[in-house]
Amino acid sequence: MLIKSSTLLTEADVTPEAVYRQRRRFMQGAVGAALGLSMPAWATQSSALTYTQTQYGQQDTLTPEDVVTSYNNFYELGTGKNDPVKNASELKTANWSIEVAGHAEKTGVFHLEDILKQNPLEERIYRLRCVEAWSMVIPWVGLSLASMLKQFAPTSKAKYVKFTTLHDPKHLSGQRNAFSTIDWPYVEGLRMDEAMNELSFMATGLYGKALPNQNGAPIRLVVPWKYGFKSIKSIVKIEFVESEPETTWNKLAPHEYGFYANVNPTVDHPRWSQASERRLPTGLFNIRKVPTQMFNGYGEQVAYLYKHMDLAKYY
Amino acid sequence: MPNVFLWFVIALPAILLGYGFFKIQIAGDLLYWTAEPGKYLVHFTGQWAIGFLLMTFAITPMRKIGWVNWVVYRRRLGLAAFAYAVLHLACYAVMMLGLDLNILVDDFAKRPYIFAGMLALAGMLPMAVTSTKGWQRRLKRKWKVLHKLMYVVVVLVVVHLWWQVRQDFALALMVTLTALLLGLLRFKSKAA
Repeated sequence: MLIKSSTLLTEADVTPEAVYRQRRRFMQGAVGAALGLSMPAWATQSSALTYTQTQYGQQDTLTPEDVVTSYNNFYELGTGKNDPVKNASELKTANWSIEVAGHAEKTGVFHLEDILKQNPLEERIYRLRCVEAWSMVIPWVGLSLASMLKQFAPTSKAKYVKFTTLHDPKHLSGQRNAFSTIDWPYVEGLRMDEAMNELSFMATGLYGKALPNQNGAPIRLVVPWKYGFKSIKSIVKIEFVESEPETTWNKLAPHEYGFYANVNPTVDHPRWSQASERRLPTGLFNIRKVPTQMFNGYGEQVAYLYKHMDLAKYY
Repeated sequence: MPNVFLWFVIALPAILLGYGFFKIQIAGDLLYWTAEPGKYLVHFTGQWAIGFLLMTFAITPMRKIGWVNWVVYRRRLGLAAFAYAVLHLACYAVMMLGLDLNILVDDFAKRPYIFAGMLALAGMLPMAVTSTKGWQRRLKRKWKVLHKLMYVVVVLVVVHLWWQVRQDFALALMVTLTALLLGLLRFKSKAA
């Protein structure tokens, strides 16, 4: 079991802002110049992150890092499973900012580093279950969605949170694909109580390092009890809205992809059963089949959210 | 086209499969066919089966437009299509379903695109069986009628593709347009 070393952060560890910014500018310039890459401004030279451990997923076997970072559904970077890692450099993450809008007291455009600086990072090992019936166990690094959203003080009119991914067809080849019927940019959403649930997570890293581009750098959502397509990547906008937002896959194929998309072995996808999943990486003759659990095994933390809902109807 | 070249084309996917197999099982490059090699193989074998299918369809058009007469190669190309289609089903049953027959039966009943694929394969079977000269002699004119089943197979294959499109329709469109073009050339162009 891979357990990364952890550091408990105290006030004394907080870098004075002036020094922090000076270092960032130097690092970004030096490393960027040396590698010809654009790096997120808040990443350190080695992109190693400082974080604390949590109890999530300690009993699950981790999926190897090279699998996690080379088998991705990130159609903005191509539709093949290894297109995102091959085209990773198309995603420009420098000077990333997030627009916060809608029913909240603090709205506007914020630099990512300003949003993150209030919250120490923690590592959570979560299972990720794709709607395609494969799954992984990933050690994410980030912060709870609830603690991030609380910074913006959403009002009582905020019933849902709507997330939007970067729209950059100039660089992202997948968004220029004439054969794709996806209406860019990618949009996802959560009901407010789902967003505030303890499990909802905003990841900025995995395996102790900053998120690779193909995994949705520099910041992405992780909702482990729902199918993977709900865990929207490379977020540029967070909006607090009153009614259920129209999400990309639901708009594209409403009979296949619902808004709730809770992992549910009793509700088939129209084209395949959801009763089991293949835990990656699979071998040629060993498909590592695992029975799928209700809510991906997180029922204890989330079942209450759907107590009076017919989940066959609200798939 | 010399025989050697034909055998090379038919063997090419098998060579690629063998190489991949070597890379994974012996050279230890476990992710050579992505983290889900079974899925990769299902797509690989399916695409080559379609490729050979379209090649058999190109034979008469190529003759009609006065380019080359490769009728003698059509049988081998057709059998190659059948072989890779069978492999496609085998990979699916073994590597995606783990030979779970319950799921296979479920697939048949509940998934239209799989049913279309199965029908296409079923359509190819009698043609594969009667592909020999012996059968041609035995069936005479009925042989030609039987082998017109290929048109039904092509339609089923196109349906099998379109019913799987989630958001990227490039492959389905390319195959459909190619089949339509070949069909047009076959039936509309001046007889050679």
